[in-house]
Formats: sequence, structure tokens, C-alpha cells
Amino acid sequence: MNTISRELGKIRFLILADFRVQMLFRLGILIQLLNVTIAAASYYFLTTLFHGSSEVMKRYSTDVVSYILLGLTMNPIFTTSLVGFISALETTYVSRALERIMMAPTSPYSLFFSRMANGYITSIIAALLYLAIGIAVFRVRLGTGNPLAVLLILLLGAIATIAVGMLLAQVFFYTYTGKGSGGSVVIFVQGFMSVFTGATFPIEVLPTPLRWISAMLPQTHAIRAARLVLAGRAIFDTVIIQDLLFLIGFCMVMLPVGVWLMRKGLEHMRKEGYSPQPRFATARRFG
Amino acid sequence: MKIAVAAEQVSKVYRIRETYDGPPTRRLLMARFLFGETFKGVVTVREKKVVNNLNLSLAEGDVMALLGPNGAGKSTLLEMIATGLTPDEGRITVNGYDTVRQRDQAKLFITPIFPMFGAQNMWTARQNLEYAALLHNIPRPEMISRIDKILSVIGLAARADELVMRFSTGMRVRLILGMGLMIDAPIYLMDEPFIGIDPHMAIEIRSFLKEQIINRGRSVLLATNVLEDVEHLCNKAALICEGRLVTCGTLQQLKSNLHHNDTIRLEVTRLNGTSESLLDSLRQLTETRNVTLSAQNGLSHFQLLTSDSRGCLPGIIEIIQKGGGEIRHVQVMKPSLADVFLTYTGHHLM
Repeated sequence: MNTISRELGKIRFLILADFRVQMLFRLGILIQLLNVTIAAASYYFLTTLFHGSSEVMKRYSTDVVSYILLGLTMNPIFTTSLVGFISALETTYVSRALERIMMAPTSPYSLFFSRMANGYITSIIAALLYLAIGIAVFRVRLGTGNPLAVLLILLLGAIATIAVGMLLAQVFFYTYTGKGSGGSVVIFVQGFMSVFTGATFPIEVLPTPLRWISAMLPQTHAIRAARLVLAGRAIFDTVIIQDLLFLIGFCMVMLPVGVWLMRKGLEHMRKEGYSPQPRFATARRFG
Repeated sequence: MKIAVAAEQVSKVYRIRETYDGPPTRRLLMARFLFGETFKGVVTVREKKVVNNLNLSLAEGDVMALLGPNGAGKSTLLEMIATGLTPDEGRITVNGYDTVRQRDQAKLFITPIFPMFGAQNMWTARQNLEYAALLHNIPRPEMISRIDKILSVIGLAARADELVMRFSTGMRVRLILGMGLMIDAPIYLMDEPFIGIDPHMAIEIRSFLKEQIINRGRSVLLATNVLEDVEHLCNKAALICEGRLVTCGTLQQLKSNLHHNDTIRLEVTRLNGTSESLLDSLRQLTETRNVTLSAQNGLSHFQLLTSDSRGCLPGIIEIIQKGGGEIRHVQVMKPSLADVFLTYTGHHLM
């Protein structure tokens, strides 16, 4: 218990310290706020082309604008869960904070979670902004479902996605070059997420083979369940129960695997050293 | 005496990736397209043993220099002792705790001062000190009482709440040392702590280290290739070259182990043709070797090596005076650590 509260104290310190740094660039924060507004507006004007509704949308008891803005609200939380570890690893590796913490009697997870917490804070602020702008300006309909149940589903989805994030972090452990390899992965994953998780359009419009990819991702299940609950469906609805069971099963299997892989990855760094060079390169002649 | 750090037959191998020019074929062009224009064609990975079968022990209260040229393996050894890296072979213990199997316990005894990790530039000095204390589980009340004391010790009290990015190099070095003092575990591991600071500041920081760390009985392993740091701060030195421990001992032992201890230089006038016979007489003296003579502007310069300058100097003076020479200047030089290093390894330190 003592250890947990001590580590939480460290996370709190790091979050506040990073927050103070962000406050040094207030203009940047204002620009981010402006970006959210512009993104919401551009999606709104784009969706007016489709007359606001479609057959697929009826399943979610919503219109296209509300569907997209709700997706934009949830998406950053899952993105942070997914890329949090790899981004934290890369930034702490480049600043050499990772090396320092490997020598200290502190869990590296305190460092990773503090970085992720900052991502979550930004995501939640962005989510609230999307909602506020959506409701006030674009008359988004949120639905009449239980908001607490939605939050719990999102939390479960975020935890399941963290497990995927731990798998994704392995890319860094085995390829770190100090040239922003993690950054490229983050950009790729963000693009991938926007297509396959049903955040910006329903997965029902994807070709059947691609829907299989969607079905494998915990975010898809979390976003769908959250949407359906918000649309007023009962939590015991078959589709929602299936989604929740998937998420629980995913967490039970993938979280221990993710934690194990993270431990192996950190040991790998301790063994291979911290020099920036690809570790997978083998003696091979091209040409 | 209790052993603070012991390394037993420790080795560390790094895999180094190298590229060479290959013949310009289609596959090479494709590889360049994928990996970038700097890709030369052939990639090889060779293994380099950066620490090689090294044995070392640091007793409690000792201040030992790890002396060696760049790339000798000093930093890797320190990182292994600090638990940041695991040895590929051998075993390291810190206060009796194995740095791999009992890593958590071993960490509690270590104060790592690695200036290359730097301080957080966008934080204040106070935040950096607090961060160091938090990472090393210093209880909050103790941390608060230590911060102000250390800020005044490192001379940054007036700028405690200023961003580190506005600090000069010397101030940053002092801050990093301050972060070490916040931890203040009994074994200090320091990797080139004076890098990038001017000689005046180096003197100030050396005396600071002596007062705040060494005089309080802390054990210190100091990796450096700056001899002045070693002479001023350390009582022992371990010479490392190409990952191997060449020799280890007190500074006095290392110097006295050399075949010649001292170099004697004499500036003599009025020799007038007797120099060759003088040289022969000097060579006859026991305890002297490599006697040489050079002449410039009417002055003769004798240089000789001896293991006992105090014992043979009267004899040398007598021979020169008997030969009609007038001694203008005598210089006795003790061997430096650079001489020790050169003798043992055949390499210069830098």
C-alpha cells in the first residue's frame, strides 16, 4: 500500500510538472482549442452533404453529425491508451529520463503513466470541447442512455486498449533508433484507428474482410457498446453484452501478456544498452 | 574493511551496426529507397566487448578513479554498477547485493551522478531537486528540509525557481551534483562530472565535492580522463583500457610501481669540453638510467631517470661540480598518472 501511494505521489509530481511546462506555451493550448473547433465545424459541413442521416445510422438512433462528433469525442481517449506507452518510451528515451529511472528505485511505469495521464487530460479536455461545441453550435443529439454506464464502458475499453498499447510498445524496444520510430508508428496507428474502429463511420460500411480486422480491436467493441447504450439500449442487450464480454476477455488475456512483454522489453534494453541503433540488423549483403 | 562495490569477472558485449559501400545494383537502389540515401549497401553487426573480464573492488570510504581514454568502458561499467545495464558475464555486488538478482536492494545504496542525463531544462532547479528525491524515495519532510540546504550549498538559492534552460553550464553541473546530494546514498557513481566547465569552476566544484561528499566518508567511483580530478579527489585509481582493468591501487602505489620514479633535470654552465666525461661519470652512478645531455645557448641540459632522486642527487651535484660545472637549476619531477597510464597500456589517456 505504501509503495502504491509513493508511486502515485511520483505520478502526481510528474503530471503537475508537465502541466506547468505546458502552461509556458499558452498560445499552443489556444491553438489546440481552435483546432478542435475547426475539426468539429469541418465534419459538420461535410456531413450536411449526406442530408444528416442514413439507414446504418438508424441502428444507432442518431444522425451522421452526431455520430461523427461522438466518435471524435471518444477517439482521443483510445488513441492515448493505444500509443501512450510507445510515445512515453520514445520521449523518455530521447531525454534520457528512461535511463535515469532504470537506475532509481522507482517503477518505470510511474514515468509512463504520468506521461499517459497528461495525454488523457488533453483527450478529456478535447472530448468535452467536442461535446460542448457539438451540442451548442451543431445541435448534436447525445441520446438518452445512462452516461455512467457509458463512462464505465469507455474505461473498460481504455484498459483493453492499453494492453494493445503494450504490444505496440515492443516496436520501440526492438527497433529504437532515436530517429522518431515511435512517432511514425503513432501516426500510422492514428490513421488505422480512424478507419477500423468505427469512430468516424460505422464499420458496417466496410467490406466484410476488413470488418474482421475491426472485430479484433477492443476499441471497436467499446465504441459500439458506448454508442448503443447512449442511444438508449439496455445494458443487457445481446450486442452490448457480447461487446462487454469481448472487452473483459481481452483484458484478462492481453493485459498479463502486455505486462510480461513490457518487462521483457525493459530487460532487453538493460541487456542491449541504450545506444541508438537498430537491434534487428543482421549481417547481410544487399546487391 | 567492508566492500562497497565488487565486480567479479564482469564482461559486457555491445552489438555495433556498421554499414559499408556495396556495389550499385538494383537491390541496393531499392534498399536505399527504403532506408534512405545514407544506406551504403552492406550492413554488418559486429560484437564489441566493451568491458572484458574485469575485477574491481571499492572499499567503504574509498574514492577511486576509473581512469581511461574515451571508449575504455568506464561509463558502461558505472551503468552496470548502477543497475542500468546488466552484465553479460560475471557478477557485480553493491553492499553485498547482486545488481541483477537483488536489483531493488542494490539501488538503495547508489547515488548515480551522470551529467550526460542532464537536468530537466523546462523545470526549475527546485523541481529538479524534488524529482531526484522522489525517484529515490526520500521521505517528503526530509526532502523539503534538504532542498533549501542543498540549494544554498550549490549556490543556486537565489535562482531556485528559475527555469534550468536559463542556467550557465557551471550552474547546471552544480545542479546535477545537487541532485546527487539530494539522494546521498552511501555509494556515489560519477561519470565525468566536470565535463564542459571552465578550470576556475572545476576548482570550485572539486572543493565542493571534497567537503560535501568525500569528507563525509562516502564511497566514490569517479570515471574521468582528467588527471587533475584524480590527483585532487581520489586516493585510489583503476586504470582501464579497452574494457580491461590494467592495474589498480593507491595513487602512490601506482606511481612507485613504475621502473623509474623520478626524472631529474639539471641546467649547467661552464662545462667547456668535459661534458662527455661527465656523462660517463653520471652513468656510473647506481640508480640512474637514461642519462642524456643537450646543449643550447651555452647551457647544458642533463636529464636522467632514477628510482631514488633524494639519494642520488648529492652524488650528481658533486660530479658536476668536480667537472667544473656550475648548476643553475635543478628540477625533480615525480611521475604523473599520465606516465603511469602510458607505461601500463602504451596508450595516452586522451
